[in-house]
Amino acid sequence: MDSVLPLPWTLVSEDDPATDVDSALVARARRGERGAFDDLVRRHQRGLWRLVRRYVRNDADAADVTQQAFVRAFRALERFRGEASVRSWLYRIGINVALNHLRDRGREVPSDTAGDELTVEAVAPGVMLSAERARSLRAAVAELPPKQRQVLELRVFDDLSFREVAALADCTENAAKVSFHYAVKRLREVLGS
Amino acid sequence: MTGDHDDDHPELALDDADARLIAELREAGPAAAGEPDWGALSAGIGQAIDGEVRRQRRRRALAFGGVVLAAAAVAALLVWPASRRAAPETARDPSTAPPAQATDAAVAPDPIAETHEAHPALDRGVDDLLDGLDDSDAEAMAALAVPDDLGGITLDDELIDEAAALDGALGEQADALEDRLLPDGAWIDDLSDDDLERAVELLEAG
Repeated sequence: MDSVLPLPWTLVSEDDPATDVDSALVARARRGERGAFDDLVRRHQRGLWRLVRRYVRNDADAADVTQQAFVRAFRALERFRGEASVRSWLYRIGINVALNHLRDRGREVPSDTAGDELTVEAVAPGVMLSAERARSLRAAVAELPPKQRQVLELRVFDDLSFREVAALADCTENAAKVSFHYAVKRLREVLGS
Repeated sequence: MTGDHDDDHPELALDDADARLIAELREAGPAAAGEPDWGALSAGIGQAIDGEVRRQRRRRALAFGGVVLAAAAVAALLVWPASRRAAPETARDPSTAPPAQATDAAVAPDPIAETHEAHPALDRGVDDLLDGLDDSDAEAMAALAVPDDLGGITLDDELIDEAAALDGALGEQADALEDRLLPDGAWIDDLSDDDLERAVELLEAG
């Protein structure tokens, strides 16, 4: 009988000190401290780039979209009410900018954003994915229902808490947890693992 | 690190196989390969933010200038009509007006100016009418002259004449009444002080 492991959503907590750091940086930036926003950029540019990269599917475009997203966030600093985490607020802006970018380019919003991101180049120590296994994962994720796929990506690839996932996926926190659960179960069924 | 309250959802617990699958997904997810130079990206973002800061400052300066201009325009609109009303009085000032006009004003007082103090509403109405007139508009100027023809100059003179005549008639009636009450009383003025005192004592005693 399989033992029950700690759930992956316990890896990121709403009580994470990083949240307080982000809030403090935003407060300082709103008071006009230019360096505080630079710190915010350095803390989140990588995650934001990875997120928008899944949408635009192009490294250079992802950098442009990331830059635009930070500029928009800077303009919207005064309107940030702190109801969501700074990270999910930034990511929401990034998603909107990425979708606008795709519309401006006349491209369809990707329906299988996860597929292209699964790669065999990134291999953690002790884990060696075969090319065949990577292709199977890519295909399985691409077949997930949109909401489950979005929740899975935000949770697994962006390391967001379920509260943040829910904010970005426009659903409740519990609904995000359920979607994630069913996404994992479905992947297991498809992959036969 | 229990911010997501996994204990509330035991039915959603993941087993070992789930955890291994998630680990594979994480390892096969977005990797370092193809990622940009983060220093260059943050520098580019910083430059874009600097540009945004400059744009915001320009917008604020323009907005402030617009507010100042609007306030000045409102102040001018408030002050200008008052200065327009004060202008005719200044023109009638002998020290500032041309000699010929000053002479004309002294000989024939401006009937419109006479009505200003008594009829401020009419004053404002005339000013508004003047503001809307073109000097070349003869018909409008003729219409403007109508109040002069019907103005109170003739009527005021008639009233003054009538008042003077009435005053004269009342004066005559008062003199006649005094004569009846004190007929030929000039002799009183000729009495000495002692005689006057005795007369007063006799009157009081009687």
